[in-house]
Amino acid sequence: MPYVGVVTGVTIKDGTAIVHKEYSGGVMAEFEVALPMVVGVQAAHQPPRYAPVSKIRQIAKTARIESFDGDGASGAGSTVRRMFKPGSAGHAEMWDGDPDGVAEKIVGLLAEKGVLKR
Amino acid sequence: MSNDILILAEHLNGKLSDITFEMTGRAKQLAAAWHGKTQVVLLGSGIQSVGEAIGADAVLYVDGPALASFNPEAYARVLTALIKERSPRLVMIGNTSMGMDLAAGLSVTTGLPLIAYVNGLAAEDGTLVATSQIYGGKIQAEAVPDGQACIVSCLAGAFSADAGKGSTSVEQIASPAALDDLKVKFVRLIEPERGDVDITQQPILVSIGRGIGGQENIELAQELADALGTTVSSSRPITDAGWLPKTRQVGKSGLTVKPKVYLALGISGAPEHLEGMRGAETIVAVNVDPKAPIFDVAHFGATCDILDLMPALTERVKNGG
Repeated sequence: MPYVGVVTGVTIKDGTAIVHKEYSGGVMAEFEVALPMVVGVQAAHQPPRYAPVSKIRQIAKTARIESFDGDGASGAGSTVRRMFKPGSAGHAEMWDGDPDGVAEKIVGLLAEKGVLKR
Repeated sequence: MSNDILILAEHLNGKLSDITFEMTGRAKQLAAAWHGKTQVVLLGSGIQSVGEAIGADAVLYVDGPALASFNPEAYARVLTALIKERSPRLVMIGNTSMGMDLAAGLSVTTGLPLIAYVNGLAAEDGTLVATSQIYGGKIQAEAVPDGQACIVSCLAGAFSADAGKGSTSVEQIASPAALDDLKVKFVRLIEPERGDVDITQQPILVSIGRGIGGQENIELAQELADALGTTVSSSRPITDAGWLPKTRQVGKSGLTVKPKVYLALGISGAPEHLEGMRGAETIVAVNVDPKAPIFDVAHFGATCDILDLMPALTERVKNGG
């Protein structure tokens, strides 16, 4: 099946999917894709809704989990040697103080950088 | 298997993306360690000359109407055939909107392992060691492919672009795969609405994130931006919520900005956002969470509430400091 990822919109027209794929800078690409297809969703028009716990408990009583043989999966992999927290090249010089004191420091910096007209 | 490295060139509107140069530069170092060559694959229509700016050992150009614009199906077919034909030791693809359509599928069609979200690549005693971001950049994973050959998808900004620039003669080759029965058809590019300000041209940016709290508070950022004679930009959640147009978004799926001063207000610093602003000359971050990743790239930081800071700063700017 064809695949298009980073998709922000899908509409179906005459049995064909019209897919909007996001590039950088607000640019989008539009594709026509023959169905069936697989879509990688980047964002939806509505935020996700989380099911209430009561509904989840209700479903948990009746839902069946089907298992199947996964032996068909194959292919090469990789081995993770170690995992670690990313080291930062540095850390910001922290300014203490109340908002007004921080504002004063920012204004001083902006003036120093020549982006503030005094 | 050869010791060569195959790199996919990425381009839009006839212009190569920086990721192409970044990957090529790193590939040259790896290829030197392996005594192999760097080969950049450029797919397009009538853009052969575009490849001449790439500093690789070779640029292989495949021309065809189906490749005139990025098409994930057409690209995957050509790349699968090229990888099988040339058996490179390493295939490098950008971990971008385009690259993410290709890398996993190529792993399946070629049988090569894929390591994604890569921001570090090294050759240790001849072995490829790839470091990648997992859990949204909170953890780094160092991995080695189980076989000799491998596909990696590289994060933008992980490597220097300058090392991948140069001059190469471009060799046009016939498409190694048929492209006449595609199920995916490119229709058009949709450009963002014009008339809005260009945030890439501002010497200073007031950039807001989730810490702004609600749409009603954007006014505070706008007043500050007005006082500074600039505009308001943002991280992704703000444009996703529709509070600012997409043209104001900084980051991986937004714009890359390099202002003299970048004021990051209420932005935590997700890797996707950092990708678009880490090149700013000076970064000032204000976030109530002292452990926010934004402070690792910022030059100056404070942990006060931005809703208190913005009016105070606006007042000072209006009063000339």
